[in-house]
Amino acid sequence: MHPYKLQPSKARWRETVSLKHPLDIAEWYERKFQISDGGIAAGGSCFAQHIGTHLRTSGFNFIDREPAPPWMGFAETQKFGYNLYSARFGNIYSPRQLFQLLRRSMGDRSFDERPWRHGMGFVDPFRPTIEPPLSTEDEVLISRELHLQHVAAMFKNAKTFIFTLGLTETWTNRKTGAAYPVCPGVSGGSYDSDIHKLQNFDFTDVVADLEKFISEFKSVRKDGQIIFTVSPVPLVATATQNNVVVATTYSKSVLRAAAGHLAERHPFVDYFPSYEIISSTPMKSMFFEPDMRSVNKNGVSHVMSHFFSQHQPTKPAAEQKPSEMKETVTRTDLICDEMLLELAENSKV
Amino acid sequence: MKLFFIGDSHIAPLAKGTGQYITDHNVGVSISARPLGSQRYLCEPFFSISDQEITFTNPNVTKYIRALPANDLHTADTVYVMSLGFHTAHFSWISKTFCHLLTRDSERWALSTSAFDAIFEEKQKFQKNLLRAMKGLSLKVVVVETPRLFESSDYVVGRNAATVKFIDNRVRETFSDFLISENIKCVRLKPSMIEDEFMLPEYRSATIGDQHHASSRLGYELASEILKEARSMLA
Repeated sequence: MHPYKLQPSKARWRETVSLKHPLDIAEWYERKFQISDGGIAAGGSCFAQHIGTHLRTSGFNFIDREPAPPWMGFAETQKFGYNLYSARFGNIYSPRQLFQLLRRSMGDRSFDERPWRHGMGFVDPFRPTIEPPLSTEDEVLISRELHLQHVAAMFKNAKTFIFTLGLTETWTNRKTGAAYPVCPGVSGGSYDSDIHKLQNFDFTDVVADLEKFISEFKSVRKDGQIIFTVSPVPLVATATQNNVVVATTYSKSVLRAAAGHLAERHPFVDYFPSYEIISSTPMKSMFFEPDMRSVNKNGVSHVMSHFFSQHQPTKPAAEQKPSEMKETVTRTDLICDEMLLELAENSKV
Repeated sequence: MKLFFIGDSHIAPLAKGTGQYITDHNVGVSISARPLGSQRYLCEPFFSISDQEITFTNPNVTKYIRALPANDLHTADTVYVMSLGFHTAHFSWISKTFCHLLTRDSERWALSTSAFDAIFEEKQKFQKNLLRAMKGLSLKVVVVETPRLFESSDYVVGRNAATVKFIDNRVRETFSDFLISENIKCVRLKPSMIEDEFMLPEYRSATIGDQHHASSRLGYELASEILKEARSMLA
């Protein structure tokens, strides 16, 4: 007798993988806690958009503090940072960026900096691609202020926060320590090696940043719980001297290890294996597009089906819409129609 | 010359007023008018295009007119006088729940100018395409600006007035820019009709409950400009 004898079949490769079709691999995930009894917020790197989209339309109490104007086309809304996450913060790639967003929303402005010039307009260094550049710096600052108020409300209202870890390579400000989502100069601003530097966070850094985030989040929301997952989407490019595949493996390994470490350490932190469901060898890369980077729709659906097999909403799915913006036939519309009918009846004026 | 008024609900007072002007001044011009339908139907696909014809597809439009050129009404000297694209009352509903970043209040979500532009474009693109298609068929077109909002109307009272004004101005200017870029003639409102960016109340429709249409006085006072632009297209 030895301990492996007592392990369930999912613990054995042959029974779980070798003898099965990849799509039949089961028990990827067993939830640690329920998420259906409170608000859910989501953020993270680009793969997190899929999670946000599915949660939004699956009947969960998904928080959207900055809803899209209903009259904007859906594709257009995402170009303006709507319908992606629980507020318009855009992609949050690194744990440091996440922690700083929470701190900034709670009033700590030590990381803040002036808007960056981009073409003829200005953008926020902390979400430079959230929408086309604004006309003035003032508009950016107003937009930032309002946005951070919504982010604060999001954290306060979120019993569950689902965060998709994306990158370890992060551009930061040498003086303030501010972490940017993209390298200065790419989408506004200009790169200056005296001001900006690349940091490739290691396991210790990532765990430290996430612990700080967890501590701060729990101070805002005492019953708060967190689900970490790791994006299976490889780096589009590395700023290190490594091959991009090697750099991707490092980045994902650090993030995966940190998420696992924290889930082991805290009863209110769970780990959901998006990364493994898409990228692990048993899946034979079937969920990647030909560029071997983008995750196809089947992959997203497969990931979410495993998530939803453990987490079900308490209410039926319903589209959330600012109620007053529903397009209804009003008295004014009726008058329009009356005038048209009158004109049609007397078409020879 | 024949003026064929066509467009959203604002063409009714426009056609009536112009008709009255033509009668009063004994101008040798005939007038016909057909609505395209309420503005809301013009903010979604409502026509298809072939080499020779624009065919309307939305039943809310085809109950008034089926195609352009309109077989029963079109002649070589027809000028289409359109009310289209300047309908700001429709867009002002946004101000119930959204305001502009620079005119923000605590009750509403704030949008940037680009976000407003994206909304306007989403709703106006079909009307723009109709005008492009008419141009493609070599139809002679003059677009007439719709009345500005009335300050005491439901579109303004209780809303973020600064945002309402922003919407009213922005829709007009972006659509005017489009017409200029397409070289489509346009008759704008006269400065004397406007005060503090709102339409003067004396132009408001007398119909009880009507919040945003002008009376035929508007068409009457714009008639000479409409005739001038129309004649220039036939010259």
